[in-house]
Amino acid sequence: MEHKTDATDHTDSGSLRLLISYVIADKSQFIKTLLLVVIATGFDVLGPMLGKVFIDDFIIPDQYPTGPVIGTITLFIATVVLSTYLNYQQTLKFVDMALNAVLDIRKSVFKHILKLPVAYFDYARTGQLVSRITNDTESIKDIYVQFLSSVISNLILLIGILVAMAILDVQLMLVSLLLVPIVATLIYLYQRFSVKIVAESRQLRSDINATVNESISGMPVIQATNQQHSKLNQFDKINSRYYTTRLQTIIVGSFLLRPAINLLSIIVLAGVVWFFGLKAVQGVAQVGVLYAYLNYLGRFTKPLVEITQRFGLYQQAIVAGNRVYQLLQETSAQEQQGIHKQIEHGRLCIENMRFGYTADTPVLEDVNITIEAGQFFAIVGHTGSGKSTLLSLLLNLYQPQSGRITIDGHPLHEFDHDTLRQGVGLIPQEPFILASSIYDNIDMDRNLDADAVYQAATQAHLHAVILSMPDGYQTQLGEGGLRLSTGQRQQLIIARALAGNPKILLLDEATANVDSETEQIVQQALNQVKDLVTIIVVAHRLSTIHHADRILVLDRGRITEQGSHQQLMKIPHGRYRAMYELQQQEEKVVQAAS
Amino acid sequence: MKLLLHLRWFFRRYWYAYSLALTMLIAVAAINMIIPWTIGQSIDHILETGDLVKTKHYLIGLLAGAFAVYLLRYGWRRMLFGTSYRLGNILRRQFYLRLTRQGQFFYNTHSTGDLMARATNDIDAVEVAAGEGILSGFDGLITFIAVVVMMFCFIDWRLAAVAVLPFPLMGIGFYRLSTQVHHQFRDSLNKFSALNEQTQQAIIGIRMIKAMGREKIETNKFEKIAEQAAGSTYLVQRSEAKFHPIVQLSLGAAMLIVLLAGGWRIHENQLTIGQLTSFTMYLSELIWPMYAFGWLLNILQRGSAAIERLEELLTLPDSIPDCGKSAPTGYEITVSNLTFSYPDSSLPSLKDINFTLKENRVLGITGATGAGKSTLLQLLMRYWETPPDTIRLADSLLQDIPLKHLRANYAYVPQDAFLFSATIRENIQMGYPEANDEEIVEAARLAAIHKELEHFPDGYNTMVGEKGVTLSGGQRQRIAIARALIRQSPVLILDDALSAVDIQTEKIIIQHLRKRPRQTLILVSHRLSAIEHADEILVLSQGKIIERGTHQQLVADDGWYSRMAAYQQMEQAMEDAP
Repeated sequence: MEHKTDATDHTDSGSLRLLISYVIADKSQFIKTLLLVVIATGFDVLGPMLGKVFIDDFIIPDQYPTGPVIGTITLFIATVVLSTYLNYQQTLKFVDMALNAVLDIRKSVFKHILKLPVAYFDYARTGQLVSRITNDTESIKDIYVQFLSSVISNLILLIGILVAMAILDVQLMLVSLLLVPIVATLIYLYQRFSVKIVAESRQLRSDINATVNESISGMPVIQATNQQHSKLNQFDKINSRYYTTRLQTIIVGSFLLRPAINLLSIIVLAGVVWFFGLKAVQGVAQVGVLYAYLNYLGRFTKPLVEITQRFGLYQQAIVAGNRVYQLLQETSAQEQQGIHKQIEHGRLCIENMRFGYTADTPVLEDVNITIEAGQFFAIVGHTGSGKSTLLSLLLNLYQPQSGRITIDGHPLHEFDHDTLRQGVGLIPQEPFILASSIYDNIDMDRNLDADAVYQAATQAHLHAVILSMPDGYQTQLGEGGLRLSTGQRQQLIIARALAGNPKILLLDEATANVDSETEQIVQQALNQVKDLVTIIVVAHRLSTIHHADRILVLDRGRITEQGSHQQLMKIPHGRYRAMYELQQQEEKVVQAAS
Repeated sequence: MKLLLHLRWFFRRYWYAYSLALTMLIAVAAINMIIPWTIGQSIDHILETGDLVKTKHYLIGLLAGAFAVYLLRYGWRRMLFGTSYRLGNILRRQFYLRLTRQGQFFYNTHSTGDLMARATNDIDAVEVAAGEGILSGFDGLITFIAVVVMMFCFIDWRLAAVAVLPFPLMGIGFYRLSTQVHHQFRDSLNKFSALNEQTQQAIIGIRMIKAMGREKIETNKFEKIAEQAAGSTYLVQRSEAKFHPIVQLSLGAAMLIVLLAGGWRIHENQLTIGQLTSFTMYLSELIWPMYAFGWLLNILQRGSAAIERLEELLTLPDSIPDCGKSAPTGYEITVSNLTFSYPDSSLPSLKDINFTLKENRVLGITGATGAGKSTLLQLLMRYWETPPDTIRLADSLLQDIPLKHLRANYAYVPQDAFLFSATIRENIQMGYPEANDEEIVEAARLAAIHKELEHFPDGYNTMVGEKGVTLSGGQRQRIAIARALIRQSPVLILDDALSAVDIQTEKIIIQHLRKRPRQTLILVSHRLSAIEHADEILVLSQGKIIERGTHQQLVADDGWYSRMAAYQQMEQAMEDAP
């Protein structure tokens, strides 16, 4: 064994504990199933013994007493039927246990991931995380299913066979027992030689896939540079190496696995016959014993091969288990058991705030903002000015490095998680529509009062439109359902946010051009709730925020200007004014193209 | 059988490997048949005579036979699997070759995922059919025949006739089950990818989930899908668990029949106890053929479906017919009355395009996104088929020029600078594989990337792509430009390929390019600063040329170009403001 550092030792045992804890989670179930295996094995090995009785007691003496014969036959049928049934049941039970364990692991990993702080995802790779939850847990499934139903039951079968053999004839059993260490050695050798080759052939296989994948994406370049031929040659090289390595796996496998084990079992068979012969010469052998032995030997190698072949899987699963375990050890964002269960007014304050994704490069600095309850407030700035970051901070996805953000005088973290989500409504840039009814799309599993839903739709000027639809609020949206216009979709999102009866509404305005009709609809809806709700718009198009109570201009993480539209337009060479003029010029360009 | 027909070219080429493997299989089956018979003989001999000498000979013969089987088994595996791996190898190569011959239309209509599935799963399925399929078919058949012959001819045909009764049932059971497993397995794969999809969606949208407080909803959704996946896997496992009972029941029934009928035959003195033992050993040899037949049918079905999907692609003609024969005498480009729509669309993407680009001149093209700029470029290089008589290179129509010649005239840098997972040197060299270090450095210098590369710890040998460093967009674009420059093609096309490069560097690169003596330049750019020195500028909008002329001429009008120029100036001024 290689030397391991303490850290990996720790995760190793950790993941092992995790895996085992699931197996014995339902102890009585586990023991019951184990018992099933033992009984099934008992019936299993009884069959050949009955055969022996039949041969030695009835056939050889050529006497067929009715009672015992019928009894033996009935018993034989019973053992076959029962062992078949019990074996099937135990396999199902083990599978069930394994799948439940994996389902549990999956659920808890997913739940755990959703609880990780957002900052974790700034560095994590999506592909890897997905693979942790799906592929790694899938490997764990393999070990459960294989290990439980295959290794355990095969081990018991092996023991059962050996016991039955010993009952019949201890000496012959010892001859057969020789197979165990020899086969184990073979498998060990196979592992030694094959691990590297198998790993290499897997690697080459994924190289082939990567090359094909890359070539498909890069085909325009390959063709533009006339490199089809040389790329094909490169591919050929990997392809041929893949062929050679796989050939090696076949060679190693054929030398050491099936054919070799077969050879060994025939040698043992010959040995058993020979010892039987020796005994027969002494007159102490029963031919029925030999009959039973031949039966047992036929089944003897199967469990051996199966047990040993699972070891590779076992190693893979441990690696996967480690990765899952490590992920579960990632500290999650502390569950907010805030003291404040309600946002009363919606007065928002940011004091001397500073924030950066890494400690030494601030994205926002010296930010001081006070927004009175019921105000309509706009934040503008160029790409990279920090306005999206500011939005994330207001949503409490990140916490400021210094300074604080308060609502009604209480810092954000003092609020209950759900209170914050209820009290601060978000209208995101990309409206997403669930494939469900309009009602569900507004309710969003929050179990709101029907009245709240209708009122929100009314506020978003959508109620009448919905009622005019054939199925009203039950009209299906999404794939295969009704397609809403861009404006209606926007209204739906607004209704969704308003339905939670928020005190603060955050609006992340779409960057892409939205037609003026949609823009007006949003305007109208916002006017409706103005004064009742604090509205904060992160604006990309300045035309939508003309009548904001206050506009704040962010530039490179700092507030450079603030005031109403009229005030800001009066600042000579002001940034807001420059942005405004730029957008007017953009409209002119668009007009010229059409 | 369709599969075998499709693959007959392969079997014809490797007939010797297959015949050798099959001969060895037959030999193995034959020797295997002798083993139970020998054991039966030994037992009878011991019981009758109590003499061990002859038994010893029997057993030594047995061991020799076993050893021969060992070698033969090794041999056929090597031949059969080796050959089927060779088939996979060949198919993969053919597939790749076809990929290199297909144009944009093909890639627009086939998703990467679909192509990858064919390159991996389908080729695997065919490979399995040609290897394990053939194996299970022949070996199963040979073993079956041999066992039946032994039982019927050498032991007792009456006993054999009743003993094999349960086996057909076993074969049918196997076939049904493996079909079921196949379908259920497919379903569980689908459920698994749904699980993947949901997880990925959740992780990509994690900020939105947290911002909207959707944690519970997403968790419920995930749990539902995870439960479905588990349920589907359970079905697969349950079906697989039924294989064993089928064997146990049929074999148990057969054993019982043999004991009863055999006992009666012994009682009648028609059978010896040794023969009875051999007979039971033969019975267990019958399991494999039954299993093999059930399996074979499935493997062949899967293989047939897979080979059909593969053939579909392998026999697809090149998307651009390459049958031109004339070599152009120069590289002046003439486009006359070009109207073009994509094969799957009825709306024209380009309408009435006319222009002439003389050798070594600079053409600038600009316009809003979706105006048809990239389409126009791709048509010049004949990535799509155009109406005849519309585009000429010097005196030849595009269709008359062999593709290889045509493409050699162009060096093209597409919008997204695609780099391969290789070193930077290899990426640049791709444009001209014979290039020496000096030429590579020269190209990098022209693309204004040389200095930066020298500062990388590994310099030109830095790996890029998945396993290497992450380059900035501007760096990628400049490496892609170097790759194009090294080709020394007379027409250089940059399709918005300087968008991520800052304005200063953009100026330097364009200066370098304009200085090259034998070089026509086609520049597509949103940023007007990149094309202001062009000899002619075309402004495209919705597939039509709405304005054309030099920079000076165009800014004099109050059209799209001059308004855009003003806009970009204002933008620049704002960015430069302190």
